[in-house]
Amino acid sequence: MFLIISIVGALLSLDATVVGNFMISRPIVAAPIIGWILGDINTGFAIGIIFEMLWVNLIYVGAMVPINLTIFTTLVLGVNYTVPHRGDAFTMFVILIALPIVYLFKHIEILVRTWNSRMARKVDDCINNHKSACITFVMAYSITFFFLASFVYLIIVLPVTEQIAKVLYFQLPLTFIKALEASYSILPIIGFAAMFNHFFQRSLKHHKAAHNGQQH
Amino acid sequence: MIQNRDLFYIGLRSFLLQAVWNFERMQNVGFVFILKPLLKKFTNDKEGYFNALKRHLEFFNVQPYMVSIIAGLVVAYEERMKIEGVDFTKEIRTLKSTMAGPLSAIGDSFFWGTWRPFSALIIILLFYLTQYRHFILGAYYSNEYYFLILLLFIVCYNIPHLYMRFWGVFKAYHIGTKVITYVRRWHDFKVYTRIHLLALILLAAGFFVFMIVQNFNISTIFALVGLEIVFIIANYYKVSVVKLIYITTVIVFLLVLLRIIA
Repeated sequence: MFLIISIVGALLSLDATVVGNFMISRPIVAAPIIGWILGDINTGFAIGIIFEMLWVNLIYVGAMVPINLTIFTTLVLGVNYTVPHRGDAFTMFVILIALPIVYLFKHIEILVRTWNSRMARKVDDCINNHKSACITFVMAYSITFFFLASFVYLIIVLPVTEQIAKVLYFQLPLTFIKALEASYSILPIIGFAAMFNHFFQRSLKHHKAAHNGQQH
Repeated sequence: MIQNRDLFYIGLRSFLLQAVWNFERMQNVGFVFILKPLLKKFTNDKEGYFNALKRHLEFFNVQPYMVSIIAGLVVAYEERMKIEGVDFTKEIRTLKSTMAGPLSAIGDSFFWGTWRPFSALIIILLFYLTQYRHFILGAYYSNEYYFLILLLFIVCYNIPHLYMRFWGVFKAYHIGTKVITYVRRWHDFKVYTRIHLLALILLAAGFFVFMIVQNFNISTIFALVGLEIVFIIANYYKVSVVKLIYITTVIVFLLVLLRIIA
């Protein structure tokens, strides 16, 4: 199962920056799809909506490389589904341990983009040598490279995270499990707060701009 | 010289603009890839073609949906260069560097700052309404229904996205830099304010439905509204979501521990 969701996760993550930008990489779409593959679209939807609300502000702008939400969603759902009759506490635990792990992928993404600089220089050389087919080749190569980086990362990290989560979770005292359960029910509330702030601050900003007649 | 089919292909190729996104010259390779077939049409010889490719390999970065406008304008200039025999390379360079910033600001603000969260919000509201009908009223929903909600988000978000991708190329090519007056209509602050206010109302409705679905009693609802205000303030003062998640877990853990000890 890890193999299938790694492929799907890697394919969906291409949409974030590399191909299309149809927003199918957003957790609100990616999570139900992965949830459906794993047999529970409803839980996938619920988790996807929480992530979408929490990270409503998170987008790739300019040279900024934020955490990859598609990879994060795939990781959380993939590990979450390995435990039968899992509760909210386990989901929350997986979220907590997946967050630092997904930061590693941010560095991989930076490395891929640095590698792309080399590819761009290769295109320069090709043009100087009058080989224009090289452009299409480099494009295909870069897309495949990003896909493979995401896929390899997921296929390695998914079983590792699963083992860490299972070993640690079943050692936890009941107090902590109760706390995790309560924390999970608070997550949507943090999400609503994040969304409220997003719309509120933007409406204030745009209202001021409209009021001052700063249309440009 | 240019046919509608060529402009349509530019729109299609623009989906791959960021395939070789790099820190040095960002979308340069993607932009060359978009223009490649047309540059071949506009140049008389091999040398001219490769010179044109080289010209477009310089630094370029724009919000990916707005590239259609710049591509349409560049194609129009390149065509004039071929027909009139006048050198517009300086104009093209200036156009690419000066228009990318304002167009990105409009694209970021409309698509990523307003339209995407708004489309997501509609789906969030629909989902919690579904949950309400499922858990409170006992209604059953099949997988197809959830896929329909998903499809609604994808369609709702991508209608303006695809419109900009293709309309931008055609309009910019046909009317030139006057296209800016049309693009400015996408950046109406009054419309944005209305969308955001509507979003806030929908968000409040979503929060209300969420609390009903969770089966909270009145005292818990008051506590949660209080908590919501605390999170809003924390978020306002730029406390990151990741920090909030960890801090909340630790505080909840301490509270559970205190309750057990007491």
